[in-house]
Amino acid sequence: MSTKTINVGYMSRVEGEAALTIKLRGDDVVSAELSIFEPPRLFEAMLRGRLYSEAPDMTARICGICPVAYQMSSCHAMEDALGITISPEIRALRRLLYCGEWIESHVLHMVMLHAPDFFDVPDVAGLAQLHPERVKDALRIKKLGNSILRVLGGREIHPINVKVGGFYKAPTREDLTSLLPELNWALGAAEELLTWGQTFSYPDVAHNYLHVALCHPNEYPLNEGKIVSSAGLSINASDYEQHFAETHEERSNALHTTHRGQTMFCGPLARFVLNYEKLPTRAKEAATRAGVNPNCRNPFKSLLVRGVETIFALDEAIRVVEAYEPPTRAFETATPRAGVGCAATEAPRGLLYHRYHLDDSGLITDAKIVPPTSQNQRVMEEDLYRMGKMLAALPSETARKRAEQAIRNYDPCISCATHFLDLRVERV
Amino acid sequence: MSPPRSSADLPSAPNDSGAPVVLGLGNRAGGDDSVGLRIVEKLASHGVGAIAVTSGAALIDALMTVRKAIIADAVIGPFPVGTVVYFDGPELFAHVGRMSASSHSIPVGQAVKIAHVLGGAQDVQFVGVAIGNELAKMTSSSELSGPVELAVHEAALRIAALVKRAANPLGADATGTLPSGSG
Repeated sequence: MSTKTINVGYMSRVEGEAALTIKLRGDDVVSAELSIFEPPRLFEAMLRGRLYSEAPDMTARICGICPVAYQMSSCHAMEDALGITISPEIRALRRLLYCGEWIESHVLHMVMLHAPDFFDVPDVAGLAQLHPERVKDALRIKKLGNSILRVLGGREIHPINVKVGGFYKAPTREDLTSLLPELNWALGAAEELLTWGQTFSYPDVAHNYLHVALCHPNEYPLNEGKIVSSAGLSINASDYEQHFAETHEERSNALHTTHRGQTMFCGPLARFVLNYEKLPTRAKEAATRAGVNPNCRNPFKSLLVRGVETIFALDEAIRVVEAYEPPTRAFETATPRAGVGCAATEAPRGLLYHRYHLDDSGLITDAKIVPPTSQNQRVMEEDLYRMGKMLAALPSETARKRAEQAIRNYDPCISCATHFLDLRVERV
Repeated sequence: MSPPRSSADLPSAPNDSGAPVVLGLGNRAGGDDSVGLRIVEKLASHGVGAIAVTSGAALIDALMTVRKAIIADAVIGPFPVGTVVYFDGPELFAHVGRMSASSHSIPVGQAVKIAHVLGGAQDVQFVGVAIGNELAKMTSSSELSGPVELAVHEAALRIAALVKRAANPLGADATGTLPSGSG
């Protein structure tokens, strides 16, 4: 029986460093291994002995694409430990800041990292030769997302204005309304990007995944909500570790997360499936036009869902800006005390869980951080198993590209997970 | 003396003047990864205007507004720490994308290619300072290591010479000439 190995020794267009090896025997996949060789970054250990107030800025350094997610999860977890309740105005500003991150991250992934796969070009520069106006629009929308981070967070990457209890300084109304013309332009441009994405040729695959996401009773989730699953789970973040476990696989520097031994799937498609009803009308209508609905189980169509969520984030940002009145206090004062705090928020790539133990002076004695890429690592490998026959039938180079494309469905952030890809396909 | 500038100082439309715009990339809190920003400061003391850039996306924005640019950045690669390296043309696309340390998701080579395809900067040179391996860019420090600090001085002088030569091609200064891919 013929054997084949598909090997991607260094995967491009993902955030971080990894390799992928698929071993085929005939049409069957013998093994599919995603090896994350980006070195461990030991953030949880570095946090021990640091003051509670340092966690937002320290954890933001885990990722240059989704620093806000780390700041939000750490702030909410610390506020849980310290018994702080933030004001509605601060809550709205945090949603706006998160929208900025979703906008810049989603557009970066859709157009710069994932879309080139659908045109068989090596990178976004190749895509720019074919569709210059789409790439220009994407760059402009991404710049807007970064501008939101700059206005609210003090700078475009690794914001410095976020603190436990709120913000060091609240923006003026003029600071935020200055964003409105570009937000309104971007909403239309994002709808055009989604329409363009609908024309891509998507592999006809689907699977009944165990989707996991936050679910808030009244709004599309960003900072708050129960952790729910497509199998009926509904828990508070404080119960996360009773239901989800991390294991170490020798081949990878990222831990693998499972839900009671089952493979899980978090991120835009899971959020969309579990929270479709909470999307604003404009995003729902765009989803309908793009042909994606809550029954979608095709991971390749995550690209379209990112487009829908970009429209949501722009719409939500406009809503927050138009309703904004500066808070009387930019932050709630924290008083150190011993305690344990947990929180989960929705990073662009999916659920981001933080837990901290504090002593009575507010020093961190233990920290746990579970990023979305760890939670999706098993489902990425299992997707490749399921694609085995398809990959086996393809020429090696085409199979390599399709396997990389499948991994990019999850927009893996390896820099976060080590706290990705050389593809090897071996026919054994 | 020209003060260091930010990307907000870039023109809104491509600048057709003969001199290249110097764009320094870096992370100020990242130890040796702050090389590009240090070069911007050093050039200011030599009277050469330069602009600080902190992300790959911001680099594309900057490159879309100029015709000629010199990018200064830290380099991760097979060079002794403190080596000043130079690339242009196809070599820049081929090498800098993987070796330049300061781009946040859009590698420098990619940013240059995208801007080139979309009608931005067509003439781009790269002057880098080798800082070691991947671990070097994970350092949290406001200080440069000794060899890199010396190399920043050398790189700034070389860039100043390149700018001077571009502005006055008939009076070219040989110190602006760097062997490709080496110091």
